Amino acid sequence: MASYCPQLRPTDWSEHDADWDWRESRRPTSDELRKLELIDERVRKALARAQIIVAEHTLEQRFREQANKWERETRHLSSPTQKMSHPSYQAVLGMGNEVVPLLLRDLAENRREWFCALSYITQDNPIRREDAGKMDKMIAAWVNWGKERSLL
Amino acid sequence: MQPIFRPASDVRAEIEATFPRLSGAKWFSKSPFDDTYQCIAWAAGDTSRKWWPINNPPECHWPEGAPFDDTVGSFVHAFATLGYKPCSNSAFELWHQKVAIYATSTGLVRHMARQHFFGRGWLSKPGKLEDIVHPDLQSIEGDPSPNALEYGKVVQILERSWWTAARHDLFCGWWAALIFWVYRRIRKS
Repeated sequence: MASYCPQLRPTDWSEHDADWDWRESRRPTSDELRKLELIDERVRKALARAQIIVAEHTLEQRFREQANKWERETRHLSSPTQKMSHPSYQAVLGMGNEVVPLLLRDLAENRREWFCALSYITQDNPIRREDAGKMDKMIAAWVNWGKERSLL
Repeated sequence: MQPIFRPASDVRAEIEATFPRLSGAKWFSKSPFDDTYQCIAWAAGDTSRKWWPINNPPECHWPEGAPFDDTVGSFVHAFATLGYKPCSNSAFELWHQKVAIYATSTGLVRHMARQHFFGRGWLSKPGKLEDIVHPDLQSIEGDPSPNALEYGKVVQILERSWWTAARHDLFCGWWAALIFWVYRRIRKS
């Protein structure tokens, strides 16, 4: 079989000197150390920011996928309990507190009925009993609730 | 929300995909796409809000005194407040207005339909979609298992006299029908 890499022979191998420490070979100056620390700090910050952006993007993407599927498959239904038992609704419930701003935005923009999910996740309910069933008023109540808490 | 007028071909495609038995049957759409009310409200003649026995949170209207559960008994109780009584058949009778309750095999209500004023079929509002008139109750029936995303089977018919209807909500239903008739005229022009 043809070989495309030069083979290592046992005689090519050599152990490093156990006492040798590369850090001791040349000590960085204080100026270089300061620059390194600055770079290190900037890299850490950028990484943290990137992680947040990726997580948010992923959550929003996952939410959009589930919300669209839920809408498509249940919009002929009238029973809230039947709609809530759909796997996509359950998946949205499982996204936790982080999904609340997305639910509020989707409720305001697309009028998807996330009332139960919002109540369940936030343990709150701004809908007045006399407004029960009135879509415009129920949406307005949740949008105001979100604005008061700077979630919208 | 302003009602949305969708192209008739889109409405037909979506409704027939949802209810395959309507393909080839004589059915038609009676209203624009509207999410402010649904089938139970439409059966009760109310186009201003949604009806369902859900209390926590209060997401829908439900008549006072009627139980908050999805059982047929709860809906019979709620419609009794509008003067309806259980009856044995869905045949058109000139002196009675009738509604039908669809439920799963476990007795959980999924849908309601109201008989057309002149007996030309049944009126249904499938969720957010357009109101439709379908020729018979069976044409929108589906899988009765509790996990299915369908309406199940007709399990109960309720009726009331037109005199009782006039004392409750008949004119609300007529008003809605008139508004939708005007909508359709405008849309055609």
